[in-house]
Amino acid sequence: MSRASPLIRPVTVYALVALVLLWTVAPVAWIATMSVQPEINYVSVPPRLRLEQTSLRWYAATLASPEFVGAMRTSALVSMATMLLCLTLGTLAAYPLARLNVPHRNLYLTLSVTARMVPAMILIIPMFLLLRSLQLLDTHLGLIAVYTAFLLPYVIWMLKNFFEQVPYALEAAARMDGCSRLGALVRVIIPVTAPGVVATAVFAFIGAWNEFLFGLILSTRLAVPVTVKLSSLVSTTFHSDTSLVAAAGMLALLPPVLLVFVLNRFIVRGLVEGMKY
Amino acid sequence: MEPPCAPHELTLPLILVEQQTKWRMRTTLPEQTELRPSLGQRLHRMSEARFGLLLLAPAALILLLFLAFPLAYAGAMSLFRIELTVSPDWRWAGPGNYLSVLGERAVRESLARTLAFAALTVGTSVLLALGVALLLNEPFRGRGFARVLVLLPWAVAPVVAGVLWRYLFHSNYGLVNALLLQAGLIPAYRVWLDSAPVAITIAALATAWKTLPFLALIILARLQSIPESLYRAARMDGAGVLARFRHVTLPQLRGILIFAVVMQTIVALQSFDLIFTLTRGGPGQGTVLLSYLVFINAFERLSLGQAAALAALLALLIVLLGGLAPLLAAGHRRREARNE
Repeated sequence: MSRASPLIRPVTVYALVALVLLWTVAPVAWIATMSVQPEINYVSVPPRLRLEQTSLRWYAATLASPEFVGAMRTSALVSMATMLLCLTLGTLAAYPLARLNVPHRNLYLTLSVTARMVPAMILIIPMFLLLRSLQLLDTHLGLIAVYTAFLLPYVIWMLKNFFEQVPYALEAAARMDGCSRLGALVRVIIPVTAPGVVATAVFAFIGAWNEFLFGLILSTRLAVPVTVKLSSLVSTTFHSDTSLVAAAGMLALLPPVLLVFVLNRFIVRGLVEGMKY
Repeated sequence: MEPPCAPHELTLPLILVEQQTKWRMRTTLPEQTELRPSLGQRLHRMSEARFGLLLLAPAALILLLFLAFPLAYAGAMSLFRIELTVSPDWRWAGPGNYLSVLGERAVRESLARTLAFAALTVGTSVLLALGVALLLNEPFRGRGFARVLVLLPWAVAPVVAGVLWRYLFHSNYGLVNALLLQAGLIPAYRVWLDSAPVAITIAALATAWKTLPFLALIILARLQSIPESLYRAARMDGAGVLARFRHVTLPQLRGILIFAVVMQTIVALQSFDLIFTLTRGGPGQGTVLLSYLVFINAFERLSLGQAAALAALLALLIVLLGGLAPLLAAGHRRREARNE
């Protein structure tokens, strides 16, 4: 290859990169196209996409539906609360696991790894019964509790990996300067690991926003997340306008995608470092 | 602020008597804290172990109530016959549910489908992720942008990914149909999702699409940490591109590739959301994977005991496979340490 023409290599690389980006973007690009074109344009064979007929009216219609907006609000609220709860509880739990001489530390770590593999499917029926007896079915609080429990093992593990990287000397210096134990955690360890904490926060938010099964079973009317709303739109609107479903799909995928693009620098490093065994 | 010391009563001018009572009140404060230490002091004096357990307690409480308890409850359910279509009673069944589940034809077919789907998903996603990682490790203009854009599917919910791929392969308005027709590869629009093998393949592709970014990311990180000196040495020994890949890159990537395979297998075995919106298990039972079968047993047939038994078997399979990852990683680290 090294003796080949100097042009071949860059051309191959760019061709492959174009292919990879096409594979990555095409599914989203297609539904994005559908969401701004009248159905007749992409149903016709071959599809005739007309630039002059591009319109945002399907987004306007979707955002005018109180049910869909309610689902978006539910998802936003539940994901935010889950993220905050995960970070608080996760930090408190990850600190002793990373730093302190806790009895049975390895047992807790093994349990947290195992908990991550438990499929949601096995939990769903008992979870339904549990939330029913706590009168938390179809409530935001119920979803927050369930999402937090499900995401917490990941969050603890990620934060533990970040906290472990902080040099002990830093913490010792803070303690010498009069910081309490919790003070050292809040004033030294968390600021030093801020990029990792941000990555973990994004992970928790996206995990909650994208969750589906629990929302499907545990919510019926008042606390339906957007993923569940979207799936019901897909299966029921055979006769109505598909552009509406496409617009709803775009709105459902937009918040996590924007987060990832804005905070990509934190996420790339955070995922790699945080997910390590 | 330090509270002032109580001055001796006799030295006080009368005018200050009122003031004195105020001082009294303030001087009593430190004595009280001596008797009942503040929260901060109690935390400070606590042994390291107890302090650690105290911090773990809130998370442990949530996990016990909303994870361990439901898990144990599901385990208990799997030992009872619970047919809600017949009666709300629990009748002791012992291992009965497990035996009947293992003997059911639908389960065996679903298991075969699940394994095929898992093999297809793991193969596609790990190989593609390796390719993408190698490509993104090459220097080219716009590499930073490409690395960010490639992350896109990671942020997309599996349910939404199912919708995306459904519309990609839709019989009436799918992009794939449109492109293939215009390229002259098919004579007319096809209904892709009405054949089970094709539907399984599309589901595997969609799953690979969704999980590829994460795998590519961790492989890329490992690639970047391979010391350049290894490649220089190989080049000095006259190794070409392929030889360098085979004898330097691949051995260095071994650990992470095994990790990727195990992680992806777990993802494949748990797949539900994506299939739910992509095919709804169809055509017929064509894409009913094990977790989907649990769902059907629980929420359509309302045989909760059977559903719990099947879910327990699935969870066992996943945990056994997933347990491999840390073990393999530890073994790999040990070998690496010995080699150095």
